[in-house]
Amino acid sequence: MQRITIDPLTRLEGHGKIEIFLDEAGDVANAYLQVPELRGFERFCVGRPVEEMPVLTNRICGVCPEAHHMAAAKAADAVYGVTPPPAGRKLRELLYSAFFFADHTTHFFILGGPDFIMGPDTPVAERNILGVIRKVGLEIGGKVIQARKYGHTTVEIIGGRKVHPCTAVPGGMTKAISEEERKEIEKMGRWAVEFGQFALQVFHDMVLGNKEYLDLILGDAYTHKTYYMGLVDADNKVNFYDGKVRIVGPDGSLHGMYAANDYTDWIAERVEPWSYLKFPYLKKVGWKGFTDGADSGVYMATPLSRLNVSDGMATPLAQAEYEKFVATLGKPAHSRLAIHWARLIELLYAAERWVELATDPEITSPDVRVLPTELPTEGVGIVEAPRGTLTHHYRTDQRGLLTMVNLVVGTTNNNAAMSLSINKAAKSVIKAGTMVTEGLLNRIEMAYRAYDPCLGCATHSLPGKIPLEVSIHDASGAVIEVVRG
Amino acid sequence: MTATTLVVGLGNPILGDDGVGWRVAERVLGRLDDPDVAVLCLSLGGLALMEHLVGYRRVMIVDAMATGAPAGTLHWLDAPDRGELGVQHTASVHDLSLASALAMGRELGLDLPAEIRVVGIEAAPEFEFGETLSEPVVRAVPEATRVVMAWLDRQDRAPT
Repeated sequence: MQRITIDPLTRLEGHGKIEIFLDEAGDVANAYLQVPELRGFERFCVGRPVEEMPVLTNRICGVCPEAHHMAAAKAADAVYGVTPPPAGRKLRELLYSAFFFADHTTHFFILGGPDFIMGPDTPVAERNILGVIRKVGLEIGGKVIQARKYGHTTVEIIGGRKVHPCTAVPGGMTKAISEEERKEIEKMGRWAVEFGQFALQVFHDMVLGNKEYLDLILGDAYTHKTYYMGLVDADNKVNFYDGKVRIVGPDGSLHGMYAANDYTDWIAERVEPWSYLKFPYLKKVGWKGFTDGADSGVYMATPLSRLNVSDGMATPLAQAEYEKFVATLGKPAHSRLAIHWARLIELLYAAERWVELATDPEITSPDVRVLPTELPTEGVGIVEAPRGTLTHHYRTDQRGLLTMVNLVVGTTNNNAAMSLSINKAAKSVIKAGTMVTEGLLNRIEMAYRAYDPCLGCATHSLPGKIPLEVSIHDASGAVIEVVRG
Repeated sequence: MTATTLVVGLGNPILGDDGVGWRVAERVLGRLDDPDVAVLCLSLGGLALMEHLVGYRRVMIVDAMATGAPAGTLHWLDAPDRGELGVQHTASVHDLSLASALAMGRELGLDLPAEIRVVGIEAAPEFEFGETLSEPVVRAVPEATRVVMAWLDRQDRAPT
């Protein structure tokens, strides 16, 4: 057996590579995030019964299985032409709200937030949750762990399992919840609302109250004027589970709205020879390259996008925060760093929605499923994953065996937009052949981390850690420098 | 009695060689007759993995690895909580490495195991969706199982 000594050299390589291409003058011509290829998920699914998809797709990766579970269940509903009864639908949304709450909490406090709470120039060794605990206090760490626990417990009660739920099936849910379970879920939800308010208070105190950070959010460095996409309900309020996809342009005007079935009329995918990951863009605008503006089909689907496309939040506390957000940033807000703020407003909304649904008189109804009786054909299911609009599209034969599977996952939507951000960050540190390697990784990390990318399912793979590796190519394409994090 | 020792098979059971941790854990489970040992199959990153380790004294994690060694090579890691790991699942951009997650848990005073060991099985270079393991990895499963069983049989188990 080979004994491994732990040192930085044993890190995995090849994942999360950033390629920077310079022009003749030594300025940045292009910069991209490279992701590893992982093939065969669609092929793996073909020939299997469509009702297996809610369980199978949540194995694509371990990060947001609940989102795949929901999108798959909705697509399977559509394949069978069946609508879940109210309690079945509400249980799905309740599970989903608890999941969103836990996922957004994790991102803000543990993954992306430390950039802000600690400050962008803090060394990497401090710019993490441990640094946050030292700065804000030990109490915050305990609360974050508790928030995750409550989210996961609610998912387990409704979904049958922690993390990888298995109860959403075509036509609804396999089981109802008891009054006792409902009470427990409600109690956790009420705690979650308080936590959501606490999280926003931390953000107001530590980020918005700091002029330097506020300038960073309001400034141009991380700003791109693109289109935005997100699900809205019938009142144009943000909704994670259901509704229509609404798209607005860089000036905030409505580009269009579509129902799940029509997604191919609106979204096309660009293939680039250097990337395994496709680049979706707005079909009616067209692909104009890696550029922003009203003429470019590049769009973004993130918490910020959802706030930009909607008329607000459907719950009172989140709505009040939304109003502060719009008053500060205007609408649409273009700064990518504002995604963090938007994420916290969504976190509070998810908690409030959790309580609303847990106290809904119908939620304990035993009537949670309609048995499909129609012949299966074809269907599309769309939900908002924490990191963007998630589309599952299935076609089956008459026995319900899959003949076609297409997934457009959250992070993929943002592929082109992330490239814009990485490009801009690279340009700020590389000028006329002079590289500022110090801070290069920091700035690039901040540029893409705001999107909360999960390359796991974007590439249909599980990447190892992202020890960010930046390769810099000269005008001839030769690698002239590699910077590793 | 609650188990004080935990064996975790880590990986994605539908992603080819990535599922090897589960196969080894299932074999270990089939050979065990000890209420003090729990076996879990998980597909999780560092943070959630750390949360699953709370309350145990000794933990063995079995996972696929990609270090560039020949497929089927077994790796042994003594102290995954020191330094960063190259184990497949313990880190991604949307997660912490296991090392960072353990550091966080310890800072928060969570009851984390004193002893954590990892057996890694080198995967074939390309992962592809499927429920079968590559030939060299299949051949490594019995030996990996034996290594885990030997570790479980050790006499210096923490008192219960």
